[in-house]
Amino acid sequence: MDWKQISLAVLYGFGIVLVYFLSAGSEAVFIYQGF
Amino acid sequence: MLYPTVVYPAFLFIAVLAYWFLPAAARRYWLTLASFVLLSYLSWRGTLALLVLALFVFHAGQRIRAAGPGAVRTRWMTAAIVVPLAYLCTFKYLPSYSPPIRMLLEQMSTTGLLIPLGISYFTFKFVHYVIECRRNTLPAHDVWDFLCYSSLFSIFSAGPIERFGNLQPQLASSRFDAASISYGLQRILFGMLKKVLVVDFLLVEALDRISVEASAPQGHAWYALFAFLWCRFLFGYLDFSAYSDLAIGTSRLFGLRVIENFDWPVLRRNLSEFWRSWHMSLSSWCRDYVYFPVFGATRNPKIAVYASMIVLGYWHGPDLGWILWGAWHATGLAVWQNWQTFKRRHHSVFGTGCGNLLTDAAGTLLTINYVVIGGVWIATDNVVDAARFLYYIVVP
Repeated sequence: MDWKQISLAVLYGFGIVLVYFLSAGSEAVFIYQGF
Repeated sequence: MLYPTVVYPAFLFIAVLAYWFLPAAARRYWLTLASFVLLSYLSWRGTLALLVLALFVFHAGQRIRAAGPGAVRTRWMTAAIVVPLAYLCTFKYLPSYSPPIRMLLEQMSTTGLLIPLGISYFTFKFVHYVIECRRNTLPAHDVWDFLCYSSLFSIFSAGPIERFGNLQPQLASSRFDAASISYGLQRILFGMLKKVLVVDFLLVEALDRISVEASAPQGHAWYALFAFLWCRFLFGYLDFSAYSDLAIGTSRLFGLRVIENFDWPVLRRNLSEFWRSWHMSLSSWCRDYVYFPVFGATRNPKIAVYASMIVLGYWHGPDLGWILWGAWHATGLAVWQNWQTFKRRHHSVFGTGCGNLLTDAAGTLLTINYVVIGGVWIATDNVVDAARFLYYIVVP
């Protein structure tokens, strides 16, 4: 097992969850989806 | 696509976990099924239409591959290109020109969306597939490979416009790699930070403060109008590149390396380099399927560049503004082509043509500001407003 990559993945995962909840309620709609 | 909801992250978590626990041979079936389930959740009618279109294009592709040169192959190829393009025109372009069709489609829509999700993207993917079938460049594949390619949810709603020949071998030889998962999560985090902090917070705030009405530029200083165009450009660039980070990162969670869309376009020294680093999946599509065929038919690079940039502009939307935006870029590219020819003819004056730091910096400044100012054609509601906006920048 590549523990360095797994640790990094866990770290990024926490980051994603944090940003996700901090930005909860915002309407993250991407303009390019209109195309 | 559903990014701010709870449904999407939950769906993604289950989809990725199950994907890697399944035997390698079963993963592409799972990914196809997961994609169709998510798309059906968004709009079952649009997904059904996608399935029918994809099966038709696949069948036509097989007939094209099997047939030798002749009328049969030409008929299948024409049908396989015309049918998806007709579907695209019916939903994306006709409603703008025909109010009755627009009303009809509005009544039929169950999602509130007039245009089916991802229509421009999967249409171009279909055209690419058909032409490559004709050229016989694609690896051996079956209908599941093609359905997975057509519906892959991570890149479905706004690209990148992936190439079948790049994706299919990865579906066929799927292997778990922790570094791929880590990289995918890193790109997703990076894209989220870009979208939430830079686009939705800083740039929206900046646009609010500038408070320029694009239709009423009079009364504003030229630098305020210029700053407005810069903010709009950065908004479009960062918003789309943030989305691309999410799409590319999500694909990497399934071990798929899809093509990139941006490569620091703001630092490019000329417009040709800019278009090789801006929305690369679309610009390379237009190069391969519009520029080269038109150039082959006419032997005229100017006609080819205008044709490909106008198609590229019109792909974005049915407004005259997008066509003029494409023509603006085509004009810039034509001028750059002429400049290159002029430099070659006057080799003794311009030397080897290798730039130094000063000319590179000047080229970068000129290129990016040309691109930013060109945004006026899509920032305003009509051509008269765009021309007025330009006038107030040039004549303070």
